[in-house]
Amino acid sequence: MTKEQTFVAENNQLRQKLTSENEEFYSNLLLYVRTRSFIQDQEDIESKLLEILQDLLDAQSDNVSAEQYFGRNAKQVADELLTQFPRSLTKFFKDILFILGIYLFFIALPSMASPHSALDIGTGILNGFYLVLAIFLIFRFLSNTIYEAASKKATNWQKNIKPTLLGILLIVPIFLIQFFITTPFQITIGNRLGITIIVFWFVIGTILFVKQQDKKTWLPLVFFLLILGVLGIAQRLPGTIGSFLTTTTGQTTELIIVLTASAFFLLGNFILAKKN
Amino acid sequence: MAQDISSQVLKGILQGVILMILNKKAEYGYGLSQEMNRYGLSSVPKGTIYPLLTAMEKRGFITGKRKASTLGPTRKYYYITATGKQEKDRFIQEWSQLQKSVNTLIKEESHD
Repeated sequence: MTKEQTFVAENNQLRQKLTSENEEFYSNLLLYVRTRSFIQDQEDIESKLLEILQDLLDAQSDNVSAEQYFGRNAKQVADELLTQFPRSLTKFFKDILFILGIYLFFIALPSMASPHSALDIGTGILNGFYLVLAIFLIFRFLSNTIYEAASKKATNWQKNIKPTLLGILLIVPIFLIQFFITTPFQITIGNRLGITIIVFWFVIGTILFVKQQDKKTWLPLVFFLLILGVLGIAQRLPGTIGSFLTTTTGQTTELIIVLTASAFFLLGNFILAKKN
Repeated sequence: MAQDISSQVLKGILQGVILMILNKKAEYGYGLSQEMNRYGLSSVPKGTIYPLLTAMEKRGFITGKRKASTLGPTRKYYYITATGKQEKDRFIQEWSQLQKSVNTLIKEESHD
């Protein structure tokens, strides 16, 4: 575990000890700082956030509320705090590559499940870049509205409607790019190479999954991708299974499997979201 | 602008206060805030000390080390450095000068 992960884990554990009023105060500060420090060194930021949390818990045990201790101007203090941490260009490019990598992984694996359609790498990269921009905008929007939405005077528009509309507005272009833009950078992958790539992704995916602390959160997605991967391999297999899946009955069976897997994916995420 | 100057002045004073407290013994955030309260600074919102501590650490006036606190969990303790001690002496000198000037003015005001 890196130092940053240790700080985050300790923070998650300690935060549960806060009273609901203090937790709300601290969570706003935490979310504001985290969404504003996208390109800053996270280890220093998480260390500072943990330090503040520990002090708020001390104040709580002395019957002093988080707001009484920290002061009402939490946003201004957070802004001053953020100016103290240097921006890291390396971290910025690492984040972009990470998001792009994850995105390409997720669009490429489902594409591999249908061997007869070509894989448009150009659209994938275009959408990946758009996703990076959208994530930046979402972080900026979230940080701008945290203290607005937290205020007791916040209207329903500020609290719920505005974020939902913006979310939809940012997601729509992903589908528009995916369905309406085609680039010349398309490749069709042969059966053997296809199976090799899927197996390679399975290995990478398993390593990443094993490394995760909170495996439950990833289970629905892992299950969904596993089904897609197995289907991708099955269609590329020579012999009865491969030929069966090219028939109408085979394709219907495949569709039912994909829809069932999607339903499990949505249901699993719904249950997890409810638990959290 | 006037608010900026006043907040800069306050930060300068708070920095001096923190350096003087840390010169007595190393403290972590909450311990430092309690010491400030002991010296009558309970009205200062303690959130302000966190950006200040980070800035002071960057300037090399203090250094932070994580170690087990008296209550058990690991805390970040701040220690004054040699540069910090020089800065503290400079603050005390400036403050004494400022205090002398302001006190003279107050005395004259009360005689008028």
